[in-house]
Amino acid sequence: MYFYIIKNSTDLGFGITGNYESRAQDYVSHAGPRSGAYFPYVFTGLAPHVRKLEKIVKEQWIDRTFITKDGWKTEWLKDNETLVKFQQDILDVIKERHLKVEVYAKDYDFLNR
Amino acid sequence: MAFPFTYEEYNRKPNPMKTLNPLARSSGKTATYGDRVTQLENSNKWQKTVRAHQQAGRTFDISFIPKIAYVPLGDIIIDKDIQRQLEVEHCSNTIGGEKFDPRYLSTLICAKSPTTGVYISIDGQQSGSTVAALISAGLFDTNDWKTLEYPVQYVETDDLAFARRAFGIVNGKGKLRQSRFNELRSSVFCIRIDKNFDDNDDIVREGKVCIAEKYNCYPVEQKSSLTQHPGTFTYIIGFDNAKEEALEMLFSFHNRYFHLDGVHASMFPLFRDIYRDFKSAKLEFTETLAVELAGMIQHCFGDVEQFGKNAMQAQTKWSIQRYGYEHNWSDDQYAVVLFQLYKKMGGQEEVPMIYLDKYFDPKSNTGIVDFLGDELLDRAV
Repeated sequence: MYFYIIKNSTDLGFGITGNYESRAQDYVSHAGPRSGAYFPYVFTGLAPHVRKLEKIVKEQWIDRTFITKDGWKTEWLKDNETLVKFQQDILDVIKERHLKVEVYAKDYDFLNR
Repeated sequence: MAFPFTYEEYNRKPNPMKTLNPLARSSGKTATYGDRVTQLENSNKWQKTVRAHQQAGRTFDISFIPKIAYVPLGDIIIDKDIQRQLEVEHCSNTIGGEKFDPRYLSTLICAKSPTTGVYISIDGQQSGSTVAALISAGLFDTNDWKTLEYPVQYVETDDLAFARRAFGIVNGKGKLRQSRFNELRSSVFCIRIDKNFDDNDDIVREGKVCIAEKYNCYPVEQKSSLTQHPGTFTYIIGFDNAKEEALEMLFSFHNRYFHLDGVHASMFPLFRDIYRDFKSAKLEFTETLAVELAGMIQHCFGDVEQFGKNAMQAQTKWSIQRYGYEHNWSDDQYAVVLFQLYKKMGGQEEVPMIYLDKYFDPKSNTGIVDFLGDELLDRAV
């Protein structure tokens, strides 16, 4: 199981997947080849721990995520969030919560492989 | 051999719920209908609703808003094809029972025939029947229930299909029921704000909330933004049904080991069973056992919620293999999975035998726990 941070030319987001390569293809299919998307960080670990990490981001950091006017909670962050801050917070929370999750890949540029 | 999972402490942080606790004090806030209109008008969902009405050319007639009248109870007809049967137990124990107070009664809802002038009851027959029977029993300060002018909310129509639909709307479909949290809040505020100790149920519920708060745990509304804070829980029915002793164990465990998380719903059946079964087996739920369970949950699952989800997934796989179909989850399986896993991982503390026998097939020597996944079971002793 993987937790990834995604960055494209305009937005910063996150997600979990059992297959990060297939997930990257999904992004290319949806956003096209010139979206500038890549995974700055891919983390891996025990599946329940990866899910726990996602839950912390989605629920305890809900104030940081973009919510549509209809109330749909997306997996994209608000405009004022930066990659540097977000990735550091992820690394901090992994340590703070003793999660069995570690960095698997950095700067996984699936558009230019 | 030492138990393989050592609990690692989490740094304790100040919990914002200490000041945000919605049951600590009344908000003191009021709102006007103007405020509510503004709130709706700012919502996308409401704007869509208004557009849909406009596009369909729908407008509404204020004369159709229900009217109020006082109608003698003896003049009201109950259409048996619309209303339920008379619920004798409900009238005897709930409406007309020891807590009966006329001030809790609500108006009857009727359809009034414009041709005959007859009022047909759509909703409220249980209340109306209870009042009439109490008068008949001489328990009211009037003698004749038939002439009692009872408040009725009505619409004028001969269309019984309308009455049938109206009954469905008033009794569920289309009606927003009070949430479990709101019911709890009413009980707690009766004690804490109104200082009214007339109802023993309110006293018990407020006492349970005190137990939770003692351990930095807080009931909150299900869709509230407060659920993002540690120690909050929304499983009010599990909380209400729990014994005080079980709640002490549950919240103490949560506050000691998982104080950065919300209290997951699985904790309620889990500690219901731990309290009951350790007591029956005359065993102590020791500090050593508690810390080893916390360490196992922390290392294998990350938190109690992930433990609960994994236990449910394992049960599905197990039941398919054992019975050939997907059997329903039962909440006593949380404790069974937890203690079977504890023993599988080499736990030495004594636990009630019933946990090791239940949901276990001695022929194949497998139980639910064996379906938790190789990633996890590879760590077993």
